[in-house]
Amino acid sequence: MRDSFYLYSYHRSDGQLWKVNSQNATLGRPLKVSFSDAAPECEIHDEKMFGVGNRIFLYEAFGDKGDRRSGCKAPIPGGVLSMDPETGEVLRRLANGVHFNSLVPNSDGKELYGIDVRHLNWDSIGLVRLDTETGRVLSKKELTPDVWFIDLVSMPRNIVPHGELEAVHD
Amino acid sequence: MKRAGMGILFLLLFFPSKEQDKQLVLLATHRVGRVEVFDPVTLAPIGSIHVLPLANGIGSNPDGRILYIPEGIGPDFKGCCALYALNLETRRMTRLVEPSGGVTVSPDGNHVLTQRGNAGIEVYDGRTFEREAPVPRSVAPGVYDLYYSPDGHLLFGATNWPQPSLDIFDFASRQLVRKVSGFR
Repeated sequence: MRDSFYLYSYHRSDGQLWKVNSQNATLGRPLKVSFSDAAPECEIHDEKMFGVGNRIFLYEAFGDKGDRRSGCKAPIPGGVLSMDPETGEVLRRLANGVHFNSLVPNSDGKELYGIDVRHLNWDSIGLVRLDTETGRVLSKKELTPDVWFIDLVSMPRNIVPHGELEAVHD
Repeated sequence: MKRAGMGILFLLLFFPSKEQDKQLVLLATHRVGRVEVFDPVTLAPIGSIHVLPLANGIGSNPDGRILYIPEGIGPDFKGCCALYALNLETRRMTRLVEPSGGVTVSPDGNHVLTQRGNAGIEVYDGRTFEREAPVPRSVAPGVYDLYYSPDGHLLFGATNWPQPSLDIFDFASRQLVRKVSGFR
């Protein structure tokens, strides 16, 4: 699993997942992934995926140009799917009410951090910490209206920025 | 052709740090031009660094000393869309390249990759920020989502252009070793 590579493609709500052999230019048969869609009349434009631990996580991304909440009359659920990469089976759909633009996992994949874009124009933004087993929101924080990007970083304790600082430009 | 999306992933390897003086933080960059630092458990603010307006992403090297930030505006309010390295020890920002797309850092932090459209893959030294030999367009013609293998030997590029393919490069030689296509 640690050295396994996966390729995912999608068309509407039909996804395909391949395990990639870097020594072989030919893909085998894909696993079918069903991205359950409450609004199939409005085509999904932007899915993102990542892997951590023994799970693949897949979600529809909101807040970018392809956000299908623009112009779609049906309500569009959010959330993130937890998948078994060996079978393609969707194990859980977590945090349906959260419209993620981005997600980053912690080191063991038991928690995810996400940017919740509640409206198309990024005027209502949340930062969410999520339990990947239960879907429970462990912490959340309101962010100022803006476009946000996140990363989880382990850094030397003595250089963690504290207080308000200014960068210096070359 | 209907839009297709794809991604290549490798399951991330995380090694517990042997260094006791490391601290995990959640970094959040936003367009106003700040990097906010949050406690990863409570999400309480710890600190904030004023960078440049229209910050458009964030990445880091593995030891957490350097942050990579695509920026929309330079300090002289000229130009657009440069990639900067922010040294957290000195808080000095160094411009690597302009314009640039996203950023990918090698697992050992020694190399930083970006693209300026379908013009190959540009490579920078992750310590000196000097330009290194690129993966040329003749080898890497697409606009890619780029991912290293955990050992840093292979570079995976997923692209929808000029056609959907997964291009696998030997990073040291900058050569294409596999092109996987025929899917949509």
